[in-house]
Amino acid sequence: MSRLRPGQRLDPYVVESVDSGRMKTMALLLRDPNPIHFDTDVNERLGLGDRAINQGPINMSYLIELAQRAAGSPIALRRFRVRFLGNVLAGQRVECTGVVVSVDEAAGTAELELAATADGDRVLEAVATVAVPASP
Amino acid sequence: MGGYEHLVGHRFRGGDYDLAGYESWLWADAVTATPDPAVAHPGMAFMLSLLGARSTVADILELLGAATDSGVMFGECALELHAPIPAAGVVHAEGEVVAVERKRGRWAGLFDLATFEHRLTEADGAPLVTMTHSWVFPREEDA
Repeated sequence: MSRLRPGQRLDPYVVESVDSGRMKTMALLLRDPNPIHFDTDVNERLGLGDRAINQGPINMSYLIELAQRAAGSPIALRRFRVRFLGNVLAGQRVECTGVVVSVDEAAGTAELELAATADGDRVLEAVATVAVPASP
Repeated sequence: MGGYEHLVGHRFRGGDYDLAGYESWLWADAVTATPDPAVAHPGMAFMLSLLGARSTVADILELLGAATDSGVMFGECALELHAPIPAAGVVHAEGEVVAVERKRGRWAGLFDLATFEHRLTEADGAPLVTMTHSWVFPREEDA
């Protein structure tokens, strides 16, 4: 289990190459008919380039994954707020980073500031509260 | 064409969603997480809330008068998790439109910012997740 400390930088969570196949799975799961996630011909016609655009729920889940890995549990997340700043395209490298803002020992929680870049451009900003193990 | 402020207070039909274990597995895989046989990935609250409340992406686009290829984007999403989401089983969701604001941005031009709240519970009503999310709907300038 991790011991989070105020000011601590979290181990980055990196998706080396965003996979367009996973976007198709997500489109089916969400019943999301928006073709920008799976039909690159449409994107070219719309002037959006020749790559599929990742769904927002996938992008935000990358940051959730970062937060829960930092906390050391798949059920650590208590609160999460994310702002979507830009698109993430198939094939891009997404790097998620974060820092511990504070730790509330009494409540057993930590506040995190998180962000994600896609090929270097900032695409997400978030804050999260996660449960953390009590200090010995 | 007027705005969509009249939609504030609109409640989606609401209802149950019977989550299959393989859907939880596929969601975790799609977001590059490790599938867990007991609990769903927290991000799955988005899917369960929308589908359970009978407010799919297509339903929301139709409600706000937007085509699927009209450039709708997410603005923000906030989750408050009251309990872990089981990886399988029946959950219940309700949702409503809580705000619609017409705005103009330097880059986005004219748009409506629509905010929704969804409440996801166990089938017996025990709270799982409260989700607030906003979407950006680009609008044509009036002729």
